[in-house]
Amino acid sequence: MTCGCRRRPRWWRSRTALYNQGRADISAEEFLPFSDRPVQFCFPYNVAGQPAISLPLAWHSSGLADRRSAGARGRPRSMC
Amino acid sequence: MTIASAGSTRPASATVPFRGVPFLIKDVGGHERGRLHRERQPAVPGMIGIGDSNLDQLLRASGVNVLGRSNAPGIFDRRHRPENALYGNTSTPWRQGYSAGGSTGGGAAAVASGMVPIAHGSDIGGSIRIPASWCGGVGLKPSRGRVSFGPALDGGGCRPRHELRADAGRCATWRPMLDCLAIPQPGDPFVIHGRRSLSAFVGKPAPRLRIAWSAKPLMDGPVDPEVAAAVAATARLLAEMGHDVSEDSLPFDGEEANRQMLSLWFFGFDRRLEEIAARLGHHRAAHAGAGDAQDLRVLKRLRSPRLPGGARLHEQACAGRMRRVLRAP
Repeated sequence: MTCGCRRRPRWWRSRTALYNQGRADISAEEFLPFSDRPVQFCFPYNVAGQPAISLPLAWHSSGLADRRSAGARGRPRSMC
Repeated sequence: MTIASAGSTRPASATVPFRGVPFLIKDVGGHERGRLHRERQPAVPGMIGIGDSNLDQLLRASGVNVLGRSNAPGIFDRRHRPENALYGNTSTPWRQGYSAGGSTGGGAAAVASGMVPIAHGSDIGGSIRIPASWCGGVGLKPSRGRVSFGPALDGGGCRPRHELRADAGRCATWRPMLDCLAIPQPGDPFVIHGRRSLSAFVGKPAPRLRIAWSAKPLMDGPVDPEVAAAVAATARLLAEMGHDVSEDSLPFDGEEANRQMLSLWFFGFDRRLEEIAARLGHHRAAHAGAGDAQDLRVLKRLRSPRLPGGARLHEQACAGRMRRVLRAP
């Protein structure tokens, strides 16, 4: 069991400024950390092919949702 | 409900458990015959589905009433956010202007706001679970290959796709839905045998579980202290419930896992771009506006030689195809 994401959602800079594609200022080196660091607790289960579930078990003081993420060891008769 | 035999799209039960239930399919994969696909990218003028994906047939057999497609990132986007120049941004329903997370943010926001009780998603690197976090719902990613992603690569790709989400108050809905979708189909590269129906476990007490927990980051970047504290509190609660709980750390290097993740992410990506290019006759659509500039910025980044090894190989392989799709210099 881990965090779902290491931080809460962020605010868009403007209505039309997309997080990623609209940012001409971000370099290739900055792109990967920008992209993958916030979701570092999720992709290990994709690499392993194991089932995983996220559950909403808490609320952040900012009023935004927060959740826990859980994964399971793969078994021949796994439910998921 | 028992599981139907391989090749059938019908659950073994004579009932149609989701008859009329409003449902959304993520606008990634799950293609339907005759439906327009624009891949959420202004450079793609539109392609008409020439056949149903296995997922689409399985969903129809379940009885759901598909209302439409939910928002997701553009096809050329590696970001996990439902933001694109064609359809715009999707907010979490809890606060406008804050991202719903992604990539299945459209479906997550629709479920969390009560538009639909359950929606389709896909998860290559967290695309079900991230928006479930930011919208406050339940997101389930089954085992790789549990749900068919054929028959065409373009219909879902060789990726662990097609998972489900539901809001917290109705999380029981995805149990019978997984029973409807976890039916092997012809052409699946592998089949997981012996799955037990989730519905059979509803209402039964959980056994004592061994649970390891960690709030330590796998990669650079601190964890929000409030988030870490909530993980620890959940672990204490589970211990009080009688489970065998211990703090541990994941036994691998997060940076290396991320490099492997890139291989998963880009598997078949070049083929999808080739297919789009072929369908478009390698002609860039006569579109004008912000979307075009956005596509070119993505292309410029993909062509950068400064990306780390694994990412560079994959992304440079894609760049040539993108040049042809976008007719860029």
